[in-house]
Order: sequence, then C-alpha cells, then structure tokens
Amino acid sequence: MTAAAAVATEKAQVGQPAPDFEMASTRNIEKLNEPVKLSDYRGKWLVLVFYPLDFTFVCPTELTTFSDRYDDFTDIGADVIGISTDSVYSHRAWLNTPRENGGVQGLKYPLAADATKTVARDYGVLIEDRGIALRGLFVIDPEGILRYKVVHDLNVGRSAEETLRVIKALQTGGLCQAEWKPGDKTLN
Amino acid sequence: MGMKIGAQLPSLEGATEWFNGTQAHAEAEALGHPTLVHFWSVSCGICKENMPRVAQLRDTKRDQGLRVVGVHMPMYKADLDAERVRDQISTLGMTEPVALDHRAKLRDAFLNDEGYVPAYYFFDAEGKLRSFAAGARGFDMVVAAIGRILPAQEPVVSVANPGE
Repeated sequence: MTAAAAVATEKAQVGQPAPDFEMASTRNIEKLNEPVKLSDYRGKWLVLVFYPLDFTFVCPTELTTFSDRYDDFTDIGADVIGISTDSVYSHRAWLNTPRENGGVQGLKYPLAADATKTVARDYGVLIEDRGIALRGLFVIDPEGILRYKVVHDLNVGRSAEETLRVIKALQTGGLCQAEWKPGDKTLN
Repeated sequence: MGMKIGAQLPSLEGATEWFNGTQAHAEAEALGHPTLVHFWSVSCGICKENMPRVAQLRDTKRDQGLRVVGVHMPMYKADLDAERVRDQISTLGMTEPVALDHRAKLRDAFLNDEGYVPAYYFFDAEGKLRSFAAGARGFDMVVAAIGRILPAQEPVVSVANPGE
C-alpha cells in the first residue's frame, strides 16, 4: 500500500538518466558545508542507499556493512552515499555515536540529508504519509544512467556483497569467457 | 577478484609472441602515455564486432596521447594457432602491438581470472588503472572514461601566439 503510493511518483527508470540531486551531506562532518551532487560522481559508479531514519535498529548494521566493504567498492571504481530524510545535524549526531550504542561512527562514506524529501520522491521510495524513505538501493553508472534498483520492505536490510556482485556484472555485460586456460589442468 | 582501480600497469612480460612490434616497443609506447590494453580472442565474436571501434579510437586519439596494446587470449586450444591470429590481426585492421598470451602470463598479470573477452583496461599517463570494463557494452564505458580523462592528460599546450 505504501509501496504503491511511492511508485506513483517515481521518475527513476532503469536505463534512463538517474534523477538529479543535490543534498546537504556529512562529507565535511565539522562544517557540514559540502553538499553531494550527482554530477560530482560522473566517472564513477555510484550506489545510493536510502534508509528510513537515523538512530533506528536495522539500519546501522546495514550501513556499516557497506562501510566495512567500502574499499571493495572503491576498488571497482564505485562510491556510496547513504540517504534519509533526516537533517545533516541528525546525521552528524548519529555519526558521532559509537556502533555499540547503535550509532554509525567511522562510516567511510557520507550521509546525505533529503530534508525536502524530493530525492526520495524522485527515486520512488518516499512513504508519503510518514515522510521517510523505504530501503531503496540504486546503482548509477559513470555516465549518470540508472542501471539497477531494488526496494526492500523496512524490515529487510540490503547486502553489500550482492551490490558488489551487481556492479561487477554491470561492468562485464555481454562478454565471452575463456573455457580453457593454458597450463591449467583444472579447466577443460 | 580482478584488477583494482588505481593499480599499476603490469609488465608485459611473458607473451609467446608479439605482432606489430615487440614487448619493448609496446612498453615504450605505454610509458608516460594514457594506454588502453584490450584482451581479445579469435573465437570471440563480440571482440571482432568491437574491433573497428577500437581501431578508430586508436587512430583518432593518438594525437591526444592515447596508446593501444592488444592481448590475444585464447578461449579454446584451437585459438593457439598463431597463423590464424596473424590473419585476424590483418583482417581486423589491428595496427597496434599485439601480444600473443598463449601461456596466460598476461592474463594472470592483469588478474583476468575469469578469462573475460573483450576486456578493456584503461591506464592513465602515470600507468594507473582508471577504468575497467568487459563485454559489448564495456567498450562504451571505457570510451566514455577515455573521453573524460584524456583531455586532462594532454601535455599543457601553450595559448596560441596571437602574433602568429
């Protein structure tokens, strides 16, 4: 029901340019003066990870998993942004809270504040009557084209491993693969 | 797991044979130049389909500093026939140096564990991997990366002298 309401305004179509965005973020956690813009990520693969609220229970594990695997993302030319409809001040407080206290301290990628809810709405993940985002995950290619999206129920977290697999698959689409290797007896 | 973005261009040591040049020639070409290394195979249809575009890129971007090196990776034992590879190099208009990687030394050096062809590795002038992609659409991704990165790699050209 809420998902249907979210989809109604969706602009994010796989294979089409990803909806543009500019949001305040925690890139500079002291001054909070460095926004994140889609155009900043031209030339990189970009993963947008929407989540409902700071300081909630399932989220930290989910967001910290993406942080723990962050080097694996940068190794394949990808970056990550976490997005909720909270303010940057809430994000900062959460980033200053240790993991053992339910925080996300030490997160390696920025959290963006979709305070106007425009971005969540454009990506079709805004639950209008609650003003929070579903657990949507989007992969945008280096040219700004949306290549993958998945939206989970609020109770289900997303997998960094699966996201890495998807990006690698997108980087190697429509190819041939050697069935044999010189000197390798294990391959036919 | 594949070569990481930022990784250094490996040595081109270990080819069984080179066409259109030598290892030393290919390495000298790549040194200090943004370089596209592409893996292909005589048995790979997509590789052949993409080859005119690789050739066009090689010829049109050379003035901007781009260098291209081909690596022939056998997909099957039958692909080890060097004469067949030589014929295809000629048919496909490949004028860049091409290594015959018939002992899989380059495949290992480029961490092409899965044996992907076509596979495109774009290194900048410092020899750092900036873009990797494989497959039919992979070429588009790498072309886009080259288009973005190449202009910034050009030697600084002085402003045209108004007196000339």
